[in-house]
Amino acid sequence: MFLGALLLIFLVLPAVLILAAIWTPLMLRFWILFAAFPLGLIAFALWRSRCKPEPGGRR
Amino acid sequence: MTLVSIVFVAYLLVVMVVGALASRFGRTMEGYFLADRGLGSWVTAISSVASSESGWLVLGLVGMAYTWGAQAVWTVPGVLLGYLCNWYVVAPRLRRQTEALGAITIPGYLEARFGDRWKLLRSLGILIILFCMMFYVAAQFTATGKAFQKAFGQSYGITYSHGVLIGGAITIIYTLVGGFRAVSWTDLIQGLLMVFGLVILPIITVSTVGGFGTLFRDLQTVPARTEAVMTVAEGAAISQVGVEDAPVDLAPGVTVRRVDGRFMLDVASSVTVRVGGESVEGSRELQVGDEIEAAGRSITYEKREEMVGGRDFADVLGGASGLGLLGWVLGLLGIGLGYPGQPQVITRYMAARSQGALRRGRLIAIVWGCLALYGAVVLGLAARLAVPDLIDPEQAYPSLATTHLPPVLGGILLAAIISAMMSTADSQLLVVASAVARDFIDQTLGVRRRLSAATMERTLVWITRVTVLLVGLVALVLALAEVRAIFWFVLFAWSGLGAAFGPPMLLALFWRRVNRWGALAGMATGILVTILWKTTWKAAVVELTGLSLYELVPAFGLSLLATWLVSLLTPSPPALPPGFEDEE
Repeated sequence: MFLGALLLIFLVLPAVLILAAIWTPLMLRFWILFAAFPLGLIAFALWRSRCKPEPGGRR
Repeated sequence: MTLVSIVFVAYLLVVMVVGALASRFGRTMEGYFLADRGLGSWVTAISSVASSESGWLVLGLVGMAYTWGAQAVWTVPGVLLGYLCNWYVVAPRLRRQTEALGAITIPGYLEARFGDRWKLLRSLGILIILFCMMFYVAAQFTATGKAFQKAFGQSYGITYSHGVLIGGAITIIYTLVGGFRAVSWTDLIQGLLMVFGLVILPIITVSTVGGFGTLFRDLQTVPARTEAVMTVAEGAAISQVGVEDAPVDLAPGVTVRRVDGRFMLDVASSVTVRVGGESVEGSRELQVGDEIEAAGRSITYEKREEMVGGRDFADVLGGASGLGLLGWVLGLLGIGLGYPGQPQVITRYMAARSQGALRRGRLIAIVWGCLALYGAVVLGLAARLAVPDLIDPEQAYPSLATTHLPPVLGGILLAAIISAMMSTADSQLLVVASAVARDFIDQTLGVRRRLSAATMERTLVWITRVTVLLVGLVALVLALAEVRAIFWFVLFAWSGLGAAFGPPMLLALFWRRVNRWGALAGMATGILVTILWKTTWKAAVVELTGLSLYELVPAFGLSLLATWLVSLLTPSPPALPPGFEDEE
């Protein structure tokens, strides 16, 4: 889980962003970096904050 | 007294009062350094992000977007990925394990985690913190002095020294009196001010230039910036000296520095220098064509304009391609690798009240980061259209705050600039003090054993307060003397800490097999590669491949490799510490 999380954060996400920026037209790549990425991140944080903690283990 | 200055003084008073209120707590070492592990979600979240983002955010990132255009945006995912790693990967385990081990500092955690009775990890940790952070604190005070001078120099005659003394003294006093709790509470106020400024000012500036549609359209036609560059001719040889704002030595005791696009010659009192046949004492502005005679050399000053920054302002790739683009993007994204290793940031997670506080704090920190970081980039872009002729791009924020806003709002936004610096300086000051007082005096020298049980904690807290005062005074003196070495050390601070502490910390939190030799190797590799890459290796790699890579990326990777490899090559750790087993 740890390795997966680190790879996702520092390898997969940056690679997706770089490829998306290279392969899309000027206007679209502007909005990917200025709107889609932050909104996606906030949506993820919001979703995770609503997840119930695993029973037992975590306070 | 103007409204701006009234608002500013009110801010400083609020900060002092909060520090005084916090002093009622913190009578033990854990209370002084970790607020008795009682921070709520808002304080944990905002204070952690405010201490990681210094004046760099409100001045540097805005200036970067002003100079480079939309390609500066790559910094933002870099930073936000760092937040993601810290809040979702590091924070929950760090809090749980440090509480189980009773560790209140990062070197202390590493020592307890690996059962390092020789105190090698703690000692190396203290050295790295002192090396990287002592001058970092001084640099924050330097920036505070400059900000005060810019804001109140003309109206109240506030000089750089006054600014350093006011900002530094207030920071030292509330940190000394209230410890971690005061630092965290004031960081909450300062972090909220920062994000307020970075939301309000971009909205106003973007509407001034005609809205987002106009901004994007007009950015496509913005011409590249030119900047004054100083060259000196000595005989037939011509060299460039004035690209950076840091002072450059022309001869012993003779330096040149760039101030607002002009070049100033500074001459030490013991040195004889002639410019155009006239003897010069102190400082003098250079004019194009001036002949400088110093230490037997005759140099001619020339000035020309050189293009700096991005060519295609609306393009997040800046019109670049190939290895140049890859180096730029990876370098900015790589900033995020530094976050797990910053002691002033991750101690906040150790101080959270509960795992629930951390869970709620994640959302707050991510939203804060998105608002503040994107706000800074958008502000820089809009400022390029609103105030296109700024000589110093880093003055975009203060310039807009004072000219485009009513005085009260302008005052609040100027306070936000100082907030960014003070909220970082106080956290760094406390980390340096904890390395000296807790890790060295208390735990390494063993002062605790010589004190009676009844007075022990109180005496140690007083020793800590004296340490905060002494460390703060050293930083103040360094800032007042404008010691040049400050800039040299600051260059290594973020990368050095991130590469030295980050990989060993991550593996210590998650991998059973890592041992103290692996952690020691990782810490030493991280700091050494940072220094070597910055000073020699980077230039060699650029020459060989054309790839200019930020030093944190290779330093972090090699530190991770060293920690992993040395752990595998040396005996397994004897037993897992408490707090580790229940997570597997």
